Amino acid sequence: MGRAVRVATVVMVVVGCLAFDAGFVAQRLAHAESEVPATNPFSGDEKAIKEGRSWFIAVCAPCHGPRANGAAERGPSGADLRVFKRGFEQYVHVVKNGRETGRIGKMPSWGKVLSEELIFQIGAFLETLAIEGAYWGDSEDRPR
Amino acid sequence: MNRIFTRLVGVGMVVALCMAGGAGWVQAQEEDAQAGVTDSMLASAPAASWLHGNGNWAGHRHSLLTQLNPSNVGDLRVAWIFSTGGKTDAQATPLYHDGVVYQAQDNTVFAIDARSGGRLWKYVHELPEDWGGQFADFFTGKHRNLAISGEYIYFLSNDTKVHAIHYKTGVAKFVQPYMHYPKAFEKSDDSNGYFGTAGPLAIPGQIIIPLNATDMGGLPGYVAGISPDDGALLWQANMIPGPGEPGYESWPGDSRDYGGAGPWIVGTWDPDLRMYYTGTANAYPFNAVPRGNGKYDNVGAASVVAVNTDTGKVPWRYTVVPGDPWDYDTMQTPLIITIDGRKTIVQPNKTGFIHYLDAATGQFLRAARFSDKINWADGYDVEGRPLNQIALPEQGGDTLEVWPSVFGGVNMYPAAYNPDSGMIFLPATNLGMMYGYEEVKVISNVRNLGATFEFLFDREDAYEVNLALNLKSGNEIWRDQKTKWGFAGGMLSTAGGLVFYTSQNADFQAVDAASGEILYAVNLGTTPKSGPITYMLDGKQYVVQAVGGVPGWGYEEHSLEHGNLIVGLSR
Repeated sequence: MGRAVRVATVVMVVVGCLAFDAGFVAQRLAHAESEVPATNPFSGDEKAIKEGRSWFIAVCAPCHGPRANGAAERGPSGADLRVFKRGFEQYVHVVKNGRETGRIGKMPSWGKVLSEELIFQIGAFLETLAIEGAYWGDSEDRPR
Repeated sequence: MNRIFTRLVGVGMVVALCMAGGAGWVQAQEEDAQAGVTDSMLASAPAASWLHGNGNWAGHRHSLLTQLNPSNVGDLRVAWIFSTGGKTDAQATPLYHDGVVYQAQDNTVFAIDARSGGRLWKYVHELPEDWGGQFADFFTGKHRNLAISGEYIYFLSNDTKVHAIHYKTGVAKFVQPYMHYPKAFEKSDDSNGYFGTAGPLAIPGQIIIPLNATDMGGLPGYVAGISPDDGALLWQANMIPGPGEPGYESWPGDSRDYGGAGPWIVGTWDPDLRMYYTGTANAYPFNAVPRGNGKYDNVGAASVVAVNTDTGKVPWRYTVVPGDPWDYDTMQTPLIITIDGRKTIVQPNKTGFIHYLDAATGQFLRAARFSDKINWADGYDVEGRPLNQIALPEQGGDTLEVWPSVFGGVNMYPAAYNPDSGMIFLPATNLGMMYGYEEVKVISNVRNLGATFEFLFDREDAYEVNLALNLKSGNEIWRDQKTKWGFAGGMLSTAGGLVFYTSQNADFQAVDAASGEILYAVNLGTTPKSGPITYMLDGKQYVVQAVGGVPGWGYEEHSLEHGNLIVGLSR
């Protein structure tokens, strides 16, 4: 019985630690996400759009195509970003963390590669390509 | 004494018995060594078996089988279907030996019953946890062919490991790593690395391994020879010349260190000249500015390279596209064909021309145009240099309209050559692009392409076109021009007077080799990315086509979905 109690105690402690860690991580993630502004601070900024285009061509266009329509040599499964509709915060989240996608691949995570400012600048460029159905506003308020 | 003598006699008898047994064991071993695929089988033209990705060492993709011919090929029926469950393009050409079809897909090797299509075994290789890097999703799971020698299948996994797998059991006798693989950006400070998508080639006493995918961030390309017994490295040949080699000065600064030239399609081998011939990829990055902006030839990239397989030395390199401003890989398999008594390297490539080179010396002989629309150059001069090449784009400036596109006049999909008729069959395409240079960015030791390209799919002159040419004259004999853009997956020629190929629209076709008449067609449901093979089993000729790929590289007009199948057809 004594051994069973000890084992149970250890299990509870481990579970508790895991729960704490999970909560802590979730808290950190939520905190990190909360630092992203609701809308893109570089929207309409010509200099930022130019820089964003340059980086988009460099790291995004091989899969999403130079027109961001998903037609590209290296990523036939790249999404058509002209109709991105999840809002700015979700855009930043997907770029930073990556995302499993449809047919064959996944969007890589760029959070440890591209600075937040660069991701914002690329977003500012993409906003200029938006066509009907796209939404780049506050993700909380996006049309559903 | 008697007892000692008796003992000695006893020991002697035991030793003699052991020796006799040993001799028997040695003999059995020798017989075992002859089991499986022998060197003489590897040297033969394909007939009952298909032992090389391209059929023979010379890359002809021409089978001696005649059972299927124009009079009866209309009776073909699907005999079996096997799904590899693949996640990406089925770019591998299967092998066939002794009742078994072998195929690689998604870092897995399958042995398939060639009568029924049932799975006999599968060998699965798990990629490392930190696997990743630039274009990892684009490359992962793709393989071009296997090799077979003795009792082993040789398989190159994406993380640049060679696996020797027993052909009957599916168990590996060795797994040998060669180069560092690309790592995920988020898990490494250096994400650059080599990638194994190319297929190996079995020659006597060696397995030749192209180490490729130098587009993963910029690295120089190599070909290696390994021992089939234990995977030991026998030699390694640089595609880009090193100090003291001709062409070393054709790379400014440190550009050769990341210059690309990955030999990403299997080459050919000549047993008399003892040379392996390979095409090489584009120079890297695509943007030519860091490589001399067209003023330097960048020898070894977009080239045909000969490697002496006894020494690993490179006797010659011919640069098909000096300075490679257009991402014109010339990785296509260089065919070895004797023309007018001269052993000749024949390479149809992205430039829209077929290049003819002397196999012994690399001397340029001629270039015959096959693409309908070419504007990047007018042709080639007698020295083998492009004539009147258009001006290069300005970095950060406007894009240029260039034909052919980076997809080329032909791409990775193999040609076939019929030595009896002297005809070569090409899975060609016609497509242009808007092409421009952008500043090269560097992340985690990975240079990006530094170029932008947009394909002109909506032009009227964008189409798939399958060509039959007289090899010697370069004249067109017939064409099968489709209404939509794409590539056939590769050609198969047979002594029965047929050509087999599968169009981008998934139509598997048997065509009269002389006239181009389509004698049989069946839609296989998804896009081809490799060529068919043929074999003989139980007195019946089979044709096998692997299909499955992302249709059209972003061109959606074929209305096909992705999914990988291997289909066996017979009468």
